[in-house]
Amino acid sequence: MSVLDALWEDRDVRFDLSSQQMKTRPGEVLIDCLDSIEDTKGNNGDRGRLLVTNLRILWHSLALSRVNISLKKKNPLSGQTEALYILTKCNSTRFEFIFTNLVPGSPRLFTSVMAVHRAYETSKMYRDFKLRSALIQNKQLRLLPQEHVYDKINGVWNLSSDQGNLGTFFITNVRIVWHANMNDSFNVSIPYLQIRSIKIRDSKFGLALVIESSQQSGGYVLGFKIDPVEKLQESVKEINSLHKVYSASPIFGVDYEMEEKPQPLEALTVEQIQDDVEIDSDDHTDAFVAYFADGNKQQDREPVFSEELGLAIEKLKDGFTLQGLWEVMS
Amino acid sequence: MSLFKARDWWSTILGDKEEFDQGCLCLANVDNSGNGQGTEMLHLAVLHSRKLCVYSVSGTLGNVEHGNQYQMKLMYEHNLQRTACNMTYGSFGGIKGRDLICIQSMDGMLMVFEQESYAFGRFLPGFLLPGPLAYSSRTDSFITVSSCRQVESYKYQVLAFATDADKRQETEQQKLGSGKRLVVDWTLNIGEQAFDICIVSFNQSASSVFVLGERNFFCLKDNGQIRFMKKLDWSPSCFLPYCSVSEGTINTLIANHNNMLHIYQDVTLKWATQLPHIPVAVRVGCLHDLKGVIVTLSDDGHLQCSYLGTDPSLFQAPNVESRELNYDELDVEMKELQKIIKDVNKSQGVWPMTEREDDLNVSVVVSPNFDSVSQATDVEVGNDLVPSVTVKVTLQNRVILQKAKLSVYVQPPLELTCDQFTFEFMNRNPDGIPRVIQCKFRLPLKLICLPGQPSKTASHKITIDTNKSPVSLLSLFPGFASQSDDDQVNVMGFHFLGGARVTLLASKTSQRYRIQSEQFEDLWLITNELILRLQEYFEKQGVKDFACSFSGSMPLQEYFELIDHHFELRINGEKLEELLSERAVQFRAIQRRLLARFKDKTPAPLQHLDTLLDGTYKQVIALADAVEENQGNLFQSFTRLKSATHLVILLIGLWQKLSADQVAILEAAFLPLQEDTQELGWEETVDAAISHLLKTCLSKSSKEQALNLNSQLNIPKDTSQLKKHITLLCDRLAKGGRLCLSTDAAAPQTMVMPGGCTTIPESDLEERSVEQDSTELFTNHRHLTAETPRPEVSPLQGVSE
Repeated sequence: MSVLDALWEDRDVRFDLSSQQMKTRPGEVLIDCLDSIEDTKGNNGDRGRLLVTNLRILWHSLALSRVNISLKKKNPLSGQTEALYILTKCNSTRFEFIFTNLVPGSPRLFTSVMAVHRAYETSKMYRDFKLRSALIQNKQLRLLPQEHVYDKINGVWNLSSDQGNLGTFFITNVRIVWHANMNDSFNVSIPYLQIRSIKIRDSKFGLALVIESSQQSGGYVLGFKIDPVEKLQESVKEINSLHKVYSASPIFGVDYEMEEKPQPLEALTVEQIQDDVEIDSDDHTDAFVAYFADGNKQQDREPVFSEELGLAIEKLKDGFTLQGLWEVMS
Repeated sequence: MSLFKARDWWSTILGDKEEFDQGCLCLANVDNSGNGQGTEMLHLAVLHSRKLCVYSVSGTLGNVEHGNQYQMKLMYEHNLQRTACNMTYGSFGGIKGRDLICIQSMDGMLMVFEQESYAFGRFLPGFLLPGPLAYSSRTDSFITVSSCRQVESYKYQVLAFATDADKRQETEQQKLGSGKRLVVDWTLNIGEQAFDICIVSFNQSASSVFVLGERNFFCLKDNGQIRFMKKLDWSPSCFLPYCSVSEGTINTLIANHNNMLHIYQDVTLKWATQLPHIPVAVRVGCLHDLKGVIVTLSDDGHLQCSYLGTDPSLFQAPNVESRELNYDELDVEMKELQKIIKDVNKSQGVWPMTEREDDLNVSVVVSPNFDSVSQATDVEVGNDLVPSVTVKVTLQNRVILQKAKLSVYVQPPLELTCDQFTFEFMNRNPDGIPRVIQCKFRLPLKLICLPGQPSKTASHKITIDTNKSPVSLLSLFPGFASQSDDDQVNVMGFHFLGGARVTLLASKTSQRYRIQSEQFEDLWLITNELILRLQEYFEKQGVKDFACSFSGSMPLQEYFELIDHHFELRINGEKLEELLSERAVQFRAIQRRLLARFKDKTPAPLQHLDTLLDGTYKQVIALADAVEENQGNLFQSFTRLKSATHLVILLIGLWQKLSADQVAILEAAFLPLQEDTQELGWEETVDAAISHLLKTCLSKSSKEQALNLNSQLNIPKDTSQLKKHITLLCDRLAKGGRLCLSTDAAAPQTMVMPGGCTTIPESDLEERSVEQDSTELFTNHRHLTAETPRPEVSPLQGVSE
């Protein structure tokens, strides 16, 4: 039983969202709101509003409130003076978005998008399941900016190998970290965000703490043995309650302060939710097709080595030659 | 912009708020997986700003399913005394089986490390800022691009043997550089800073040095000669020559700041692809058995392995402006623009070439009589009274004009009582472009010339031939008849103000006229006047085919004497000015000394410094007087020279029967518009113009047409060159050379000659009759000679504009 709804906001590209999906989830904060923005690629000509949260970018049309997009913040952005170009990749499908500010020469550019994306990118440790990363320095956990260690448990056996590995647990407000005592780099960082379940189960080593990670992080099942059993139960209780606290108000780690908040954000959010009440859910068209990054295809073809260029290229379609393609294009 | 995009094969983000640059990306089998054995193992060298570390990297298979484990073991490290900039490695000196490392410091020292030991350090000569550094194993040398914007190559051997000048201070080896001057092996000026240097050799082909500049991409041979270069249309960020797909060519990746990656085969663009970021470093490698993967690193730490997409992306974002059209505004703008276009078309370009003649008329009437009381500033010259004549200039305008300026110019020695008039609030100029209207007029000959006693003998004579029977001089010069007895007078004397005398003789039998005088230059005015009056006379008679000619030899010797005299005075003036400045320096020096004496609390005797000061003062005054006098002489001499020049041009024109256009070219060459000054005088200006004519339209062969332009005109050492050129000009004209400045085959190179930019008065003579009785206006670019109806007009011309 998962405490937290699976976090999709920053992992998925979705079109035609329901009003429920448009709402910010706990821990998600609206950072910026840009008006008079056109979704140049998919809804050319319509004025819309671009919302920036700490997890995603949302765009919705003012005229047609049905049209909206939610973007995960996962991929490189390149901002120009007036157009925001976003390339995303979601389940090996690449989408491309171009947002244009319809007020030429507007001082409100997409700087907040760029900055928030940067903050998002550099705070992945808050949200991603990590194996073997640089977590430990001088036997101490390298803390994240908003992180506090609640407990440190020595003598925790990792049961991944046959003989088990003796190590240490750090329990914080964001995650659980384990590392082997013999080798710092043999470690794992499990944010509560990625924890699907926390249980006590029997194993061939006896009763053990079993943490199941979310599907999107790989669905790992990690077993830890803590002696004695009382200590184990105490620890599980602690982890569980911290997990609950976290689920109620998650810390995503994306910190961004707008220098000036132009409008009250709550008001804006409410307004558009009301806009959005009537959704024809059958009408699930292929809205995403308009946003394919290139060639109206869902996936790239596999790479092959081209003797002609001496480089790896996307396998050519039958009947095409590299030179032919190039000559047509140039 | 290419329509193709790079396909993301694998990517990651590195560092936390770190910045990356070229040199931060290295692609190699660093854990030596697959082959690693013996000493040939690859190691990892990391250059920190003050430290060099060398690691061995090894991987062990993980005993858990979570992947392999890698370990970096520090083999050795060097603490650096100087802040490092970049490094290169290689088997310096041809050493076998191991690599040495060379680090360039920020202050230009090359430090060579031989594994755990420091070998030596040498300062690069003339260093300012560090450039890219590469080692060429074929030539055993280091190649860099210095702040002089040239590629420089230093032999390792030369570096190694350059020794310290001062060994005593070499207590700490590393702290000190070398003293002996390093000699560069070769240099090549590329005229720009370079981003990177790569030295590659594929398939045993000759090695090439690739240099990526800010705007160009160079491929050099080992010896620094350019193999090829490619001008780039964009600003590059990094590059990599990566392979050779066909014999003799090399493929290079060049990334730029427009997120593009270009693939060149030598200089031919083979492919271009769009990248998601601006790379600061690019590599090509074989990863997971996929060959030719492009690895790029951006400055904010995006590392991407990509392959080239082959599906074009045809979507192009339409422009915002083109979608949000405000038709009303556009209409207004359109109308405005059309109005401007219409206005420009009306006025025929920016500079109005054709004037609306009714806008402003300038007309001049020269009063038939002299002023009763002379207005001249110097009323007497010698024994003669200087007369003055009133000239009435009328400006007529139909439109309101602002700031009309009238300036009147006469040739010296004539003078004006007022030469500038400004009329405010008269002129309206819709284009804001000042317009010029010119009007030329002639003044009566009597103004400077009186009837005089003819003399039989004279040292200078000119004979003018005509094709019509002689005309009575009295009818030509009615006001100058001193002896009224005979109307078939064939001798007439002229007496210039100031004393010079000229005698005009008309032959009784032949169709000739002779002008003679004691001074060569005095001949011009009368000769010119005679010809003009003859032409007028025959025109009135209705004779069309009247012509004058001159057959005698060109009086160049007399002309050259005048040139020499003028030049001598110039040289003299220069000398005097030099002397004056010397004396002035001396004067100030004495003043200073005296002042020091006077300030002294214990007064010392003046030791005749006061006498010296007084003497110097007198010298300065005397010299200043001499300079002034010389300037006066020079001015006079120049006026004479100009008269003589006019005469020479006139004679050349008659002699070779040159057209008005050709005479105008000669005038432009010989009579530059600028003033004759010490720094830029007549001799050098005219010499330049004549040499140009000789090299262009009068050249004998195309060989001579090679222009060697002396950009600076300086006062020549002597006048021999000028004289030679004038003689040559006459020779060429005599041999049939003709003057022409158009850009046809005869004169392929045209250029603006000094003074050659005067507009060319065309066919004065034909058009004059049109406005016979009214002194008429003249628009710019068309100089017509206006005439008073009186017959006594002289060629003394004034110009009012």
